[in-house]
Amino acid sequence: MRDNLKKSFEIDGGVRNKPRDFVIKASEPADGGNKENIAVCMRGVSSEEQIRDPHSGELYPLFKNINLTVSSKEVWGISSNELNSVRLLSQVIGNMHGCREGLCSFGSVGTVLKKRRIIPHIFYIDTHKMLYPGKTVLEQLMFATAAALRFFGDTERQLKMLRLLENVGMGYIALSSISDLYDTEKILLELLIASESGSRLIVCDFTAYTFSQAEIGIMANIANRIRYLGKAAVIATMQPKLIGMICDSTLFVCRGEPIFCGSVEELNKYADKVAFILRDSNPKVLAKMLSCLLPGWQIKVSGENLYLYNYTDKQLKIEDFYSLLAKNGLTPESVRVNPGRVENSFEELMERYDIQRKTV
Amino acid sequence: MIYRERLFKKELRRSYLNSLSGGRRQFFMCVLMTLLTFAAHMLLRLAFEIVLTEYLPALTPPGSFSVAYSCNLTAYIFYIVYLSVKPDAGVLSELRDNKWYLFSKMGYKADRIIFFKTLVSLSSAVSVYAACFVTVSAISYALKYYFFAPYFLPFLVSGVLGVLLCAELLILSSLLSGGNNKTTRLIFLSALIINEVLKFTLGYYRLIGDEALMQNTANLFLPRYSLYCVIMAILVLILPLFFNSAIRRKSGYYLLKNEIGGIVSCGEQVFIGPDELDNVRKGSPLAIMARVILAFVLFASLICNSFILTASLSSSSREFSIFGYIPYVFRSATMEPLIRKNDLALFKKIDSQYPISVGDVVLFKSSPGSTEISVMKVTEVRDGNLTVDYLKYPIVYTPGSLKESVSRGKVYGVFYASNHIWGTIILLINTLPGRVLTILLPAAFLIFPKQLLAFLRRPKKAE
Repeated sequence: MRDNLKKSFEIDGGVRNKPRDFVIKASEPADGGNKENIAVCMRGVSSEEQIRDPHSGELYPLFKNINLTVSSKEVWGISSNELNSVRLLSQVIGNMHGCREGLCSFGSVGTVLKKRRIIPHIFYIDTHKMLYPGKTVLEQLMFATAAALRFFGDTERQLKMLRLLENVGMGYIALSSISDLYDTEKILLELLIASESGSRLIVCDFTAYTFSQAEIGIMANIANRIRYLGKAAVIATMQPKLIGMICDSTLFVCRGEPIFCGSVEELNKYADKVAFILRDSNPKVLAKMLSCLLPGWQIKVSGENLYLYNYTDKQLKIEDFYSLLAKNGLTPESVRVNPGRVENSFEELMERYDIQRKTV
Repeated sequence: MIYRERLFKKELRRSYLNSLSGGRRQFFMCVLMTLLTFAAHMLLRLAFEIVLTEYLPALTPPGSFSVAYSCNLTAYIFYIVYLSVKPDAGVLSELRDNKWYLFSKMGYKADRIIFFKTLVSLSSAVSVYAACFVTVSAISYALKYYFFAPYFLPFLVSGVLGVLLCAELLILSSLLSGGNNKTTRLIFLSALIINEVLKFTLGYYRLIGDEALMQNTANLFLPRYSLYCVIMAILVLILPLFFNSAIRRKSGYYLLKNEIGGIVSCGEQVFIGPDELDNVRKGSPLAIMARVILAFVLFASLICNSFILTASLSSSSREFSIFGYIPYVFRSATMEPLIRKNDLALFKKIDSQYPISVGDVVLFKSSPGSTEISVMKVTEVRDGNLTVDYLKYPIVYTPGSLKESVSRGKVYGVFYASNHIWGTIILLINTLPGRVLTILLPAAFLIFPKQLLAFLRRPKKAE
């Protein structure tokens, strides 16, 4: 642990470059099943709590049959169309709540029967109130790490803390009083402190918070640091953008059922069917012409924007698309390749799920 | 500036600006308590002059005795009010916000934090009280007000015991309630009521009202005078040990913010129907009930006040009657035990034909057109003349020396009934605090409820 903590102060490492070269599927642990590297493993987990559908009045569990394996160096994002589903799921992962059936084991610790018991393995965050409002950010960080990192001298530790704050993008609030920070900034500071703790798994229930673009950027830096230190994190959020920017993998639950569990890249590839986004002053005419040129595609007009959905099996490269436009004398004001957005993917997943349910 | 680990204690103290241990807060509380002590002392002196002495004689001992006593009483009530309003001052608010969680995850030992926080809470409460007591004593001495040195230590000890008990009861309530503020307040106030009952039944008030016994600190702890201090001292020593083990056990668990349980109804808060919307606008049934009660209190107090004001203004020159009865707040002890000092006495208005017999207590004017009225007992009736006398003579007079003869025509009222409690209420309501409590506050809450509640719940300024 001491080596791990010492490593944690190799500040330049693990913050800037996000390693995205691995794709993990939930059912197959990345390390080939090595228990030491598994932070949490869930098999067939279902919730005891049920939710009532406001329209049909039907009761269904907040989640059921969840299979999830989170290994070290992974950052997972969990989301759902129901706030309570994702909140409860994060509580079960954080050993804060029991489940009706299934197995939930925490790496080498195994299954913990006493719920809400503070175990060294997990660091759970669901509130911004853990900090002392009378302190500055640097003071709080120094105070929090004083016991765990006592092998560093005070001066050295303070310099390292300052550098750490700067590197994750929180340098601008280093000397601000905690009482002056936004709740989301406090949460980020807690996450940073958690990343420096001895816990291998950080479980964050961020469902009550909405982060700005800049704050998501800071969180991405902290997430990189968590990966670099060999830890794992599970972030429960209702902000798909956060999952897209930070997480390697995601679990999406709809009406209690896990409808996607895998990497974010896979999700976008699988569910986000928007291939190109075009902009034109006369979008309706352009849409009409393109629908003749691209059979099997779907075109949606929103303001001056056109969203081109590719529902065919064949991928269309951007250069081929440009040549198609040029051949037919079409000159839209701008053409963009959709980089893949988690919001679109989740929407698409829910639509498909609804269609599937109705068909069944 | 380097933030060193060995500054642990200093850093921890700085973190508690909101609690009892913040330096500025301690100073402010000390000044406020000193001012309140003198205000309470003056009020008790006033109460001594009127009626409280009869009900709570222990509260109104004379001279310097009452300054020290006022200080203890003020500190006790101040802490009760302060801790009831701000139950977060208890140790367990830290636990509720999971502040300990963060530190326990970072390698700190919970025992050390718990021990230090409990110590800081209790010592802060005691130091504020002690500083207030010393200041009050010093001011009394400097102003050449009654100051008797032997009372200093016994009262200081009893005051410290009271304050410690308050702080520890709050921590206990916080522990039992699991951090819920409303439950904490309820348990805390219930415990204090039990404490008051114990004080009365175990003779604590009798002991501290005794000027001779209160010159020796040891008397506080002698069971033959009162068992209260012995029991409370043991309790004050034992409770911290209980806290330590209980809090240590609790600090091993995380307190969830977003608890989910049972069947969750989806969308209830989003879809509010028109009926529910009306309810939301009107306020909850509890709020409506509170308003009705407040309106009733205001209405009743207005009627009472108008009656009391009229009664208090009534004198020989401005006399009035209600349904044939003349009310008077009797400020003399000359008719005791029939009419006690500060009684509200009712006299039946009579004409010249009303038969008066021996033993009647009559109301008369010394001469027609005179403003001086008298109330005396008839001892003899002869030829249309009455011989009247007082029931109780002041010490300087010889019994029977004030006996006089009154013609029947001067008598216009005969004693009907008296009530001591109503007399007490009238006298108290006639004071400025009485008027504020019975008219201004209910009226303000009825007319400006939102503004006042918003003022009371105003957000705290940034630290």
